[in-house]
Amino acid sequence: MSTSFQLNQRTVRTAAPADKPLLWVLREELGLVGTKFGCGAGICRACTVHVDSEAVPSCVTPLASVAGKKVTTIEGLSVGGVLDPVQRAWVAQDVPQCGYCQPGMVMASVALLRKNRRPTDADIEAAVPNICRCGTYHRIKAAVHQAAGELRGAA
Amino acid sequence: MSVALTRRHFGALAAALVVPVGLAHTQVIGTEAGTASRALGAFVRIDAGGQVSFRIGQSEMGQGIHTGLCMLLAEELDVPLAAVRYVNATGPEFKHPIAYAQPPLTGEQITGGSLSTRAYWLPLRRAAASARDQLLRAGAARWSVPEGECSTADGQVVHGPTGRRLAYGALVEAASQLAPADGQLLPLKPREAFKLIGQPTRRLDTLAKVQGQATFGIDVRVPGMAWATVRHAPAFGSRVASLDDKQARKRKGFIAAVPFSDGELNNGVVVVADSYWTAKQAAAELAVEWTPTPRDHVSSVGIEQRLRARLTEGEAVSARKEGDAAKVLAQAGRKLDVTYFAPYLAHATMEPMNCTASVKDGRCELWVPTQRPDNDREVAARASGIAATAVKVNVTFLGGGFGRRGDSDYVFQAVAASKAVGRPVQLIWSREEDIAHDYYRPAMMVRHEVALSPDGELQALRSRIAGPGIWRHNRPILVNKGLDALATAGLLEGLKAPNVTVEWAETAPDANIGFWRGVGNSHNVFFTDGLVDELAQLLQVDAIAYRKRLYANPRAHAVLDRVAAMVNWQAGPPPGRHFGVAYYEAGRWGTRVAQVAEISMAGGKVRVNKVSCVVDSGLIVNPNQALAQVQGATLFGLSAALHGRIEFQDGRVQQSNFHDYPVITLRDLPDVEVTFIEGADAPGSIGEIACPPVMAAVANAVSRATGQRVRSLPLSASGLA
Repeated sequence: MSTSFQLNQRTVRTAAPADKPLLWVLREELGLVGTKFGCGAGICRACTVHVDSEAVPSCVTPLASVAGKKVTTIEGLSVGGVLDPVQRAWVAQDVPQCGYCQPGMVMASVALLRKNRRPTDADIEAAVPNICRCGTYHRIKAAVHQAAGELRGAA
Repeated sequence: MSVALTRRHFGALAAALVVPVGLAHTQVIGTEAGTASRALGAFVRIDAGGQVSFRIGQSEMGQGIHTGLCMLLAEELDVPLAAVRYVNATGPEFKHPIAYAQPPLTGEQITGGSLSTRAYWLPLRRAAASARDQLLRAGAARWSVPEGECSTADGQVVHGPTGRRLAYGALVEAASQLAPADGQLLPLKPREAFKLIGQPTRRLDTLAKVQGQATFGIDVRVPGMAWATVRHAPAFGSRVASLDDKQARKRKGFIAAVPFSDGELNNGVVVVADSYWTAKQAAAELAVEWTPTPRDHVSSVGIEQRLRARLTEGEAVSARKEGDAAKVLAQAGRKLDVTYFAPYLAHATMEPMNCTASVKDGRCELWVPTQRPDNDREVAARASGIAATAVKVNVTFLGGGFGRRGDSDYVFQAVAASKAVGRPVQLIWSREEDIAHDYYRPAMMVRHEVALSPDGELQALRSRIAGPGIWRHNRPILVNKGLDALATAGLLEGLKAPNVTVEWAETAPDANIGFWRGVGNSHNVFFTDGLVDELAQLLQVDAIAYRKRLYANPRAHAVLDRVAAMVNWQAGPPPGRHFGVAYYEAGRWGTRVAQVAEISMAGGKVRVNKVSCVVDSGLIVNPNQALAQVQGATLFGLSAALHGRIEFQDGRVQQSNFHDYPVITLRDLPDVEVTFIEGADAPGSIGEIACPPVMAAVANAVSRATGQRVRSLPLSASGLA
C-alpha cells in the first residue's frame, strides 16, 4: 500500500500506513523536520502545513487524506533560497524567540494572506489560533500586517 | 602571511549533528571547511580569514542569549557582529565559579535564574579584551612600533601615526603565541564607546527559525536511531507492578517495551519502535499494572486542606525575623488577617520533553534541548552505569525552557531505552505525558497577619507560607538550617515594619516540583503585592502613592512614577475600565518592575485590555530582546493568572492537553507597552521579572472592579475568567 502526493512541488510516494498522521510522515519518512509536533490533537497548530493551499494541522491529518493532493511545508515556502514575503516580514519584525511554533505561525499566516490581503486583527486571530508560549504575538500581528501591506503594494 | 597547518583543540568540540549550510546561526568550529583557526583563550577562535568562532556554554531557549553574548564578545573584541559564528559547547570550562557569581548555581554548567547576561558580563568581556590585547601586541610587534600607538577597530589592528592596518586573520597565529594578559587587569571599553551593546539588534537565529531550519532536540537524527515514547506511572510514587506487551508486539515496527525506575518519582515504561507514531500506538496497547502509592488519594481539595492546616498547625522555619510580630499582633487593635492561594502550574513548553541517547561501547552520547548539561551527565551515568565523564552532551535549540529542562527525567528514560535495545533512541513525550508529568510550580498558601497603628502605619507583619520546597526536592543540600529559600523568595521583599516575621511551614510535594518562570516569586509577588493593594484600599490611599510610601527608594519611585505617567493614572481609567497596579522589588535580580493592568469586566469575566510595564533592570544589552522578554513574560504570567491550574484527583493530574490547560493566544491578546529605565550601569536580570507581577496587577484590577479581593488564582477557578 503506498500513497502518492505532491510535496513542495515534487511527487513523493510513501509506504507509510494510510492512517499515519501527515506530520509524522513528513518528519520521519520524508526527512522534513521544519513542521513541528506540539500537541498531537490539532490544537496548538505548530504542525500547520498547506494542503491544496488550505492551512491544516498535520498532526490530525491522516496520510490517506492527502493522496493526490498538493502539500506545502515550511521548507517549500522559500523557493531557491528566496524568502516568502511573510518570512521577510518575520525577519524585519524579528519575531521568533525560541522559534519552535514559528513555522506553523508562518504557514497559517501565508494561507490567510493568500485569501485576504486586507486582514483585520479579528481575521488574523481567526486564521492564526496557533499557540506561542514565548508570547511573540505582538510581533506576529505586526509582521502579518507588514506582509499584507507588501503583498497589496506588489499586486 | 602563512596559514597555520595545525590546529589547537580546546576541550570537547560539540558539533550540532545537522549543520545548516549558509546560515548564520550555528557552525561547527574547526577546520573541516576552510582555513585553520587559532584559539585565543577558552572561548574564542579566529581563523586566517578573520572568522571569529565562539564557544557558548549557555542554552538558547528564546531569551536571545546567543545573540546577547555574541554582542558582548564582538563589542570588546572590536569585530563586526556579522563576523561572529558560534556553537553550543559543553565542558569543564563552562563550570567556572565566576560565571554564576551567586550561589547556588556556582560550579555547574547551567542556563537559568535569568543570570546568563549578568554572569558573563565581565568574564566574557575580559576574555575578549585579552584576545584583543594579544592581537594588538602582535600587530605592534609586526610593525615594530610601540603598542601605545596602536588601536583596534572592525576586526583590524590600526597604527595611528601611519594609518597602517592589519586584519585579525593575518595576526592571529602570532597572537596565539603571546602570553595572554590577565583579563582582570585590562581596561574594558567604557560605556560611551559602545557601538553594539545597547543597540537594538536582530537575533542571529531569526533567519534559521523563520525557515524551519533551526535544529531542536526533536529534530536530531542519528544513524540507526529508533523512536520511543513514554508511559509514566499515573500517580507520583507508583511503579510498574506488571507489564504485558503481548498486544503491542503484534504491531509492525514495535521494538521493545522497557520498564524504568529512577527513584520514587520517575517510573514507567518506554516503548521503542520504528517511529514515534508506532511507539505511541504500541504504548496504548501495553497492559501495565501499577503499584499502589499513598499519593493515589491526592486530590486538589485535599491539597488545599492540608496547606490550610499548616497555616496554623505544626512547625514553621523562620526566614526573616525583626522585632516581635507575634506579641504586637496579639495586642493590636487594628488588624488584617487574610489567606492567599496559588495553584500547581505546568510549564507547557511548545516542544515536548525529548532526548536522543546513544549508549554504545562504554560511552554515552546525548542530544538534548537542555538547561543543565551537567545534570544530564549525572543522570545518564546513573541510567547507563557509565561514568559521567564518559557522557557527551550535545545541546540543541530549546523549544521553550522556562525552567523545565534542567530536571532530566527524560534523559534517564532515553538512556535506559538505548541501553536496553542497543541502538540510539529518540524519546519524545506526548503532550499528555508532558502535562501530566511535569516538575510543577508548586501550590502554595500564605496567611498574612498585619497590625496597623490607629493612623494606618504598619506595626507588624507576619506571613506564614505553607507548601513544598523546591530545593528540598531537587537539591536538598541547599536547604539551609531547615529553610528552603525558594519557598519564601520575594515574600514581603522590600517591605519594612518594626516587627516582621516570615516563616515557612513545609509540606511534602504531591508530584515532582521544579523551577517555573520566576520560581518562588511566581506566587510570592502575587501574595505580597495583593496584600499591599488590600492595605492601600483599607487605608483609602492611592495604590501607587501607597507603594511609594512602602518602597521608599529612588529606583522604586522612578518606575512607579513612570508607570503612572504612562497610563495617566491621575485621570483614572476610561469609563467601564479599571486599573490595577503591581510593584515588584526584585532585589536579587537587580531590577524594579511596575505594571498597570487595564481591564474591563463583561458578564462577570475579565478582559485584559492592556498591560503597561516599566522595567529598571540596569544596563540593557539588546533592547530588541529585552522588550521581547518583558512582553513574553508578561503574557506567560497573565496566561497563568487567568487559566493556569493543575488539578489532582485520585493522585492523577487531571489536565492533559491545551484544551483543558488553556493558554493565551492571539485572540485574548492585550496590548503590552514597555518602558525601560536604566537605573544601573551593569545589567540586571530580565528573563523572568515581568512574569510574577502581572498576576498581581490583574488580580488587583479585578479586585477593584468587583469590590471583592482576589486572593486565589487562577481567576477562572472563581469564574472571573
